[in-house]
Amino acid sequence: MPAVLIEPVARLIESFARLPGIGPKTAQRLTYHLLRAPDTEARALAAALIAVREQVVFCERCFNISDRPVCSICSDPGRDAARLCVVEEPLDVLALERTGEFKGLYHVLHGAISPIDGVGPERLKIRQLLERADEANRAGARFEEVVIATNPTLEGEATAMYLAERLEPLVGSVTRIARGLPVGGDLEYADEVTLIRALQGRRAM
Amino acid sequence: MPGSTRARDRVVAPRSRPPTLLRSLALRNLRGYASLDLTLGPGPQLVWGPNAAGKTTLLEAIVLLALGRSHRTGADAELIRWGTDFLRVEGVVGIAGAEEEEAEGVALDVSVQAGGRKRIQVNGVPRRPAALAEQLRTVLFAPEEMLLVVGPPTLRRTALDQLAGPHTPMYGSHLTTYTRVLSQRNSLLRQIRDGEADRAQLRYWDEPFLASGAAIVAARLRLLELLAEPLAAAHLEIAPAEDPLTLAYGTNAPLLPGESPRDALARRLHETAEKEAWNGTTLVGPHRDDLVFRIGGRDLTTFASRGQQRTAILALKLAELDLLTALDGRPPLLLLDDVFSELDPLRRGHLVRRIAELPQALVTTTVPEDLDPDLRRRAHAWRVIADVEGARIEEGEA
Repeated sequence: MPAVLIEPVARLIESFARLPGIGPKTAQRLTYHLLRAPDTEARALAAALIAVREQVVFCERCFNISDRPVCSICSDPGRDAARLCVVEEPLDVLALERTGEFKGLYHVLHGAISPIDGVGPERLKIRQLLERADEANRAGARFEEVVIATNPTLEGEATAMYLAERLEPLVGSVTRIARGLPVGGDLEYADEVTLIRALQGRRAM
Repeated sequence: MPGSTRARDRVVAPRSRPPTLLRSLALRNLRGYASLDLTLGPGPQLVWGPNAAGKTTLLEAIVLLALGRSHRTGADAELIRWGTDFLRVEGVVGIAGAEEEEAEGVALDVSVQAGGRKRIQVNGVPRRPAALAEQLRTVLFAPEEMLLVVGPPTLRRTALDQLAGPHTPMYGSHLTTYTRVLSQRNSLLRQIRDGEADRAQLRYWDEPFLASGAAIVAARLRLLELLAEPLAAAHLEIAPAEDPLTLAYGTNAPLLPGESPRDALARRLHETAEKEAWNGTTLVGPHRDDLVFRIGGRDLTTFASRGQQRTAILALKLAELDLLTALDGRPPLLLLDDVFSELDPLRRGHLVRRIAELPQALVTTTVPEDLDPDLRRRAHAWRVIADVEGARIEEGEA
């Protein structure tokens, strides 16, 4: 930081720059925008930041973000409690919910196994997932199916394999979401790996 | 309208026979060049001028068009001319022999922004680097490669990977997966060594490690098989008095009779399990394999004279030309960066004969007098002139 920057400004730029997707230039732009903006706008942002930390919690069952101890999906009696979908991030729940296709419950791992980033299975909500399956069994409400919907990356696949091994004795069946061509896509422009996966996952018509 | 560009791409760029004559080249802000537009014809193109004038940069531009990256640096932003904030290299590749008017050209376009962001386009459609090589294939022979035989193994692995790529679909993707799995696996091994992780977790990385690793080894072995005959022939041509030159795959996971590369790798992984956990790093796999040059069964690394090394490298380059030509019947574009001064007259003669057979080649030199007189007569000469306003190129006799 150049010495001409006064301390409160430098501190805000630094805080913005630490956020994902924001570089030093954008951080400066955001800071100067807030300096020029009406007082109410800056205060509303500050209040929103505090509210998100104070009022948003993780659901104690599925670990999705929630404004109460048990989230709206977990407490909805209309959901199919015999089906569970395991995802890496809260945003993945949003994406799946937009489809309206999955009527079961979720479990958010908050990441995938990645030794490079120092993330082992113990850093994820895996123990809680296994306990959840155990509890369901003790209550006589065994999960009929657990869908593993981690990303189709190396890390997502490693996590899926780890989970499958541990879930198999505890639940009815463990399934993995399919991989293949995007809808509306063009075969000619698909990359080879995706095409191979799509061929491997073909099915009878 | 993106729709119409895509339709044009389909009509103009059939996948089957990539044309390999570079008809034009345009540079903007590449190293010493501010702006340059060249129209190139068939046959040998002789690029001459003093040191640091921009001869190698011209070859580098063609490598960029063929591979999407430079052979001299991995940092794309370094290529941008000082004081500017982007670079662009464009070229048109056309079918050899076609008339100028009816020639259906494929436009290649590589540009880099100051932040390092790169965009690659084929006929105006954004594509991945591999799409460039489908249109323009090159064989580069540069002075740095004189170290190939005796230099560090990474040089030879890189050469192997570059050669194996065009012959194996998916090679690049296997290599990317392998590199990623390897660093995950090594991080985990370090954590195991330090007592922070459990050895049972290795299993989840071993499957992609074996799958991509074995695919790489299989492709390299197949490449060496394909290369054996053209290499022996080229070597016999250059050095008829010497024992035959052979290439062997130096590996820490040699195949036992009846074993597949995957079985061998799995067996060695199992055998080194204790040791790798102790070392905190993966000890077997294609990232530690090597290419061994042998003459009459003896390893060249330990006993070769400078002359023998050069003969071996020249033979490899000529074999590379043959191999790429055999792919679809179209010879690649040969790029020679000031290598004549490294070769004796006899070896130069072999290279000159080969250049004469090719539809197009680019040869750089500081001393045109060093070149074969016949080649000088036949070549189209370009003189590179250094200039603070940006390097220039003039047509004219060498």
